[in-house]
Amino acid sequence: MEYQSWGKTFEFKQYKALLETNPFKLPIVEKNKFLLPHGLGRSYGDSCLNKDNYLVPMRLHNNFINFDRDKGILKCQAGCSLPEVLDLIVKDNWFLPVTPGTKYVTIGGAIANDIHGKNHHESGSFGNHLLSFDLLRSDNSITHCTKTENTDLFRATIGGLGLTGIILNAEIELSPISGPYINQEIIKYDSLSEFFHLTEESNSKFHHTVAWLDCFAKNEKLGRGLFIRGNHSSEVIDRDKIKVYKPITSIPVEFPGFVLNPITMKIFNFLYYNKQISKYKKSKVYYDNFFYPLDSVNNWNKIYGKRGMFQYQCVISYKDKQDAVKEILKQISNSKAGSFLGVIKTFGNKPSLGLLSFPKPGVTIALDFPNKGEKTLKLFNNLDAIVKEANGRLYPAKDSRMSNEMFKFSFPNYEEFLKYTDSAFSSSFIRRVLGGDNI
Amino acid sequence: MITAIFGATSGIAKEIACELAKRNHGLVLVARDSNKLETIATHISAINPKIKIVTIIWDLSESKSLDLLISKILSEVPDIDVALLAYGILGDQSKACSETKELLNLIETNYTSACVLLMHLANYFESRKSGTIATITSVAGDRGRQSNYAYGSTKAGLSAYLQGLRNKLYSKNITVLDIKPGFVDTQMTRHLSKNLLFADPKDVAISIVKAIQAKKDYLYTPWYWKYIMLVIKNIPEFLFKRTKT
Repeated sequence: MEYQSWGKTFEFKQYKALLETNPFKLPIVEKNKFLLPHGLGRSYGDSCLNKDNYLVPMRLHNNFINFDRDKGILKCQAGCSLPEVLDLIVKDNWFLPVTPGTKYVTIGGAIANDIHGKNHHESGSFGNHLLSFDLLRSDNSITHCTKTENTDLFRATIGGLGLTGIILNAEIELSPISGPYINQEIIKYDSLSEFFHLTEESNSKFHHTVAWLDCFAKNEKLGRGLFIRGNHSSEVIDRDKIKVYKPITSIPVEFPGFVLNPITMKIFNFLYYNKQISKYKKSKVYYDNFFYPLDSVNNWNKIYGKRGMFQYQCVISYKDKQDAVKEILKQISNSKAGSFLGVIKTFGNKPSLGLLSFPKPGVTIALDFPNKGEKTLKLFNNLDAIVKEANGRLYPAKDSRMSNEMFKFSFPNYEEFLKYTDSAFSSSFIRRVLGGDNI
Repeated sequence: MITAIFGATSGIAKEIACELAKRNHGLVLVARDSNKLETIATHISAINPKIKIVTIIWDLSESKSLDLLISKILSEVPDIDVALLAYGILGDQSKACSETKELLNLIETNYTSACVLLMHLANYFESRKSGTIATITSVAGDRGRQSNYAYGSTKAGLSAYLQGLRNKLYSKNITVLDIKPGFVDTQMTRHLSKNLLFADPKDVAISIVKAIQAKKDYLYTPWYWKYIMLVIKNIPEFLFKRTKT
């Protein structure tokens, strides 16, 4: 399987091994080879790759098992994609309790990365809304895991990057909504301190908040951007009109390397920041446009060309988070290595359940960088130092290069986690970050 | 409205069943793998818990007992409005060139049993004087090519049978729909490397359901296959026979 993850920076070969059904059993592979479940492959780095080893395609197992429309509880196989789930639930006024910035992920992937979204400040991450799941392990046992049953495996699997076994199915608590529209407000803000001010003002009144960040802005304009906040609208529409959007366009080929450069991106950022003339703009938008703006362009990652892109996502957890964020943005702005896709958001206090969960209270920044090789990696090492100093961590789902040291710092519970991983499973990510101390 | 789907566990059939369920059709699902069938029935029930879903385990390649299948269906539901044949095997062309068993299996499953089933269904629909018979054949039936003529010929034969049936049943107000998919991303094509031409079975299912509702005679899905096959069909034989596809 010639397959690349979303960032397209790795060219690894892996093989396909199919799950046996009736009864569910792991595929039998060579003795020294490992398995890794594979969903829709939207992870940026190597957490969804398994170089020279096997991937178990989970999209083949995409059936619903039960949907309780009164209580809002969905049980489905882990290979179900979010578009499939949304197609089922939105019509009956239910929504995903947590949704990431793209809908092209599977339920299994959502659990394995303990994904978070624009409502983290209120609702925490995906694992917080998981009632149970069934896990298939290499002894072919199927373990039912909940918050109170087999809790160790429950906590190890949430955010566990597919390394504890194969999630066959999961039961999720959905969120009630009154309709498919969102009352959205976009506020143009001029500085980082204004961002923090807006966050404080918005977090108690809005379920969903995030800001797009102009990472080329400097000095007093550092951290400027567009603050986006929204709540579900009570406006109802005809059931038949409720659809899950498909991409309206697709990038057919990788762009040549010169297309995305500091000049074009600075221009883009300037235009994007100023696309809204007024400071406040209110509108009613369909949920798909609010939550998944990038999904309208299929294969948008090809814009970064053959060399691909890196994403750097960290969370800063520190009393002087404003300073740490300022420092990070200064480094990026000075390096001119950034791009037009940058977001910043605060995480709330709801504790993440997984041993390797990424979200913790603080501020998270996620930025895309075209892969300029050493230059980009050097910048990231500098950023790591700031993140470390601010007691932060990095997000495995986005990572292609964090060091062994940074991994251990980010996840002090990693040794406990390793107790629950399954010896038949491994990934390029875990082999890389653990280095010599192997899995 | 009740639709009977023969071969309900196939990739396209599952999506068609989901689409029909969304449109409140009752369903009779026939397949030979009970575990797969149960999983799909549960899935469809989650999509629309209000419709009636009947599951019947049956090996559709057993041509001689297909009349009993129709009786069994009619003992479970009052009648059938739409019948959809969605079962078939791709087979292995190279094996079919040397192994009698492989070739016979392909022909029996894809052509012989399908014709027998269509005969029984036609008689049933004729007696109720309305209805739709839909069958999934393939663009491969439009022209025999060396890479898959064993499979292609079964579909070509089936298309001709459907054409005759359409002619016969026209005066009885019965629609006979011949569905010709191109490459669809399902279990059947899992071993092939995917390219731009591969269609999403969900999209194919929607166009099939629309064609059934519009009482069409034939459907190429996705739509551009009509034009691709128009070109392919019109290449003179003295040229086509030299190709290596």
